[in-house]
Amino acid sequence: MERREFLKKSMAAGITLGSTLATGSYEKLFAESHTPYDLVAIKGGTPDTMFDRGIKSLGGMEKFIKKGNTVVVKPNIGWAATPERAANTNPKLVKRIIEHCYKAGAKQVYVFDNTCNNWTECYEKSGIKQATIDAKGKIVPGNREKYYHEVKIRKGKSLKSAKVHELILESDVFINVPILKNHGSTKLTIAMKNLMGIVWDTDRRFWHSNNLHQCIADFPTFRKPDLNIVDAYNIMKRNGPRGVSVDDVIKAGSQIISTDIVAADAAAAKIFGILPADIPHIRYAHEMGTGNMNLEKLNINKIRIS
Amino acid sequence: MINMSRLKKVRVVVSLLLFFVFTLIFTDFRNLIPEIFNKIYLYLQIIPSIIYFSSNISLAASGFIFILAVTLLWGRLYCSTICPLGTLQDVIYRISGKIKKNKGFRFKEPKNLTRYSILILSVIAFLFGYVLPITILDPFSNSGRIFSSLIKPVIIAINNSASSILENYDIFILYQVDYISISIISVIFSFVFLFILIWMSISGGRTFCNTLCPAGSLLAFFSKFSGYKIKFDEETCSTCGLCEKACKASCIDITTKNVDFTRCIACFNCFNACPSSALNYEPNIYRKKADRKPAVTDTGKRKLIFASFAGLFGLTGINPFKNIVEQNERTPVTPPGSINIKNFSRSCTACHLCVSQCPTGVLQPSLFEYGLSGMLQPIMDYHSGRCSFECVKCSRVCPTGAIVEIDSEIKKTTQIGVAKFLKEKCIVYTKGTACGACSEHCPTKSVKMVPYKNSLTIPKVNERICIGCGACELPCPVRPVRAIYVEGNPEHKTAEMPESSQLKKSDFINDDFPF
Repeated sequence: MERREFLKKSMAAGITLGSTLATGSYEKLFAESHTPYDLVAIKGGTPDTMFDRGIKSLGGMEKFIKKGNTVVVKPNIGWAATPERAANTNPKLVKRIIEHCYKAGAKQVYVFDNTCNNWTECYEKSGIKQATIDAKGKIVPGNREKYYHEVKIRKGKSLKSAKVHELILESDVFINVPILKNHGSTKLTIAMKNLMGIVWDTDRRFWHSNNLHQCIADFPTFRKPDLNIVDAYNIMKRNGPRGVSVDDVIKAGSQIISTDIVAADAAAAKIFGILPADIPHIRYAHEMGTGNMNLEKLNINKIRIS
Repeated sequence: MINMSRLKKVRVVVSLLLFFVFTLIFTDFRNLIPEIFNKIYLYLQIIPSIIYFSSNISLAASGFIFILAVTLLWGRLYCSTICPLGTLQDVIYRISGKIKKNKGFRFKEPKNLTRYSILILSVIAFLFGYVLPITILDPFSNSGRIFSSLIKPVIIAINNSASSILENYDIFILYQVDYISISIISVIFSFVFLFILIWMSISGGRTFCNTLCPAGSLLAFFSKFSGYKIKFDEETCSTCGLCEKACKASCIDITTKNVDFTRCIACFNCFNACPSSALNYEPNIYRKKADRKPAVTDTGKRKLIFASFAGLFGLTGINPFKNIVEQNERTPVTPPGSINIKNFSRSCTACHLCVSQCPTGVLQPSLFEYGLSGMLQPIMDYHSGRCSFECVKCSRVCPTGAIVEIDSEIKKTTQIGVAKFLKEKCIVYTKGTACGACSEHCPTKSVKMVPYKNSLTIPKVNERICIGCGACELPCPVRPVRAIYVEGNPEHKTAEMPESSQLKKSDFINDDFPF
């Protein structure tokens, strides 16, 4: 709790600092950062260039990370599949995010996921291990129960407790980097669903058998990511979340960035072609006040890279 | 003339080297050892090789011919140098000697009736489809079980504590490993066996090899005809008896100056023990029959062994193995590459190499799922893991041909079983909330979520494309009985490829921002 308060304060300080110090080539950013966007949607570039533009319009990574912070980046690395299968977050995006973190002064950037398939194979095949190493981040295992610690979910309706990975509990900044996919159980998997990868296996089983959508909506009441970056570059349109072949994948060429996890899910759902309210966990989270799924009420910056 | 005293050194070095390779193969919890080590090492293991050859006459299965040829030249070098259990016994004896000084050995009469009966029984049982005697007594398989279920956990524990320390410094080169491949059944069996083995080797050297071991008895038979044998030079011998004391096979009788070469395991300790170099390898032609007491007195027995082994190669097509598994409620699932339960259950000696190397822990030793004869043979246990879609590791390491090597692409359509869905147990049905864990993990999407009431979806199995990998059964949250499980195919089938249609126009994403 203290850490989060500290973080909020430091973010506020960062905004002030950022707007005072921004000069030179950052003029454009300076102009943009005057309007605090709730959400940024980018289209047209590659995952890394889209992120460059998107984060810039939010005032840069410096707004989220203070010098010396530890950062945990949580992509979707659930499956032993290559990047073109779009079962895992795009490794280029992960790499670029880590680079931005270090540029903003992060002390250490950790990357992990509690995978569905054999974790070493997932880390390897997804290209995320290499991407992390290339960006000088630390790729960390999430394969054993000892890394997960029991926490209470006070505001949860179905979910009252969960075992959460220590990196989530200990890191100063939590960046959630899901990929937008079709999902057999929950229709779509985006930002909130991605958080099933930071809890232990027994919790997942509990979620699945105790109103899955409600549990997914309950969890962010415990800890909302400080930033959500939805990879919607290549997306799995069917047979999700694992996918059968590359035939399941189409190029959507998009990206969503928001501090509001519900808004990020809503915008991504719309890109996929589904109404946010049709996904129960998005609707529940909205109703619980975790975030806002009514996109028309949000200040959205739409960036098109040509 | 080579210096005989060097032979022991060579034997010790080679045997320890091979033992080290064996240890690596069976405890390689990170799959770091190149497969070539497996291939070469397993090629030389006599019983697995014979069983492999019996179902697949090929060069890859010809290792036992090499071993037999070596035996026909110089005796049971296999037992002293190649056999992992042989080296293990030497190590045990050595360690026990450090704790309490060994008294040395004395000549013992051969236990021919016991050892050859066990050999014949094992062969006959095998020919009738019952591999159990071999499973229980094969030195290689026993070593495998000891290492994979007793030594491997210790190594993993060391790894995990070392990695715990390193993690504190943000170093993740070592990582925590689960004990998934360790099963309690195998731990108990191996422990009991090891306990007996320790007792036997401390009290009598290679008693196991010369009474119980079917490989030892087979090679004992062949070593009767060895071209070179260890013999006394009666003129040089001072009858000091140091050789008899050094002989861990208890086969040197100093009173008659006789070496029972059928029990000699070619360890060469006697060469080093002899102060006057009175023991030597000599060509067999100088042997005077009258001087020697024959080790095997019953020629009928001899013929029977011959007949049995001739039969082994000829009669393998006949397999009267009654499918005990059919009496069980569920058909057990055998690993991909095992073709059918019969082939698997008759050939597998439960060395647990596949269990040890399985990356997901889905292969677990069974108790009686395959019937009594199939005790300890691995079974696909979908409560401890699922079969990884592209993985063919078990088929590449199996030394007996119980699992035949298959290509990864072929494996993807090899149907080892079929998923069965129990709707009335499913969360979607019982609680009316979304689940679908089974469908999430299905690699072929043979378990698909189809519309159900209240905009919910419920699993449906397409048995034609299901390969029985258990990716659905493992994550199913329903307890105690899961809502989806895999029923084994007694005979493996070929599944259809998952259909892959083009995406529909409506699936494509509009180029505009939809908000």
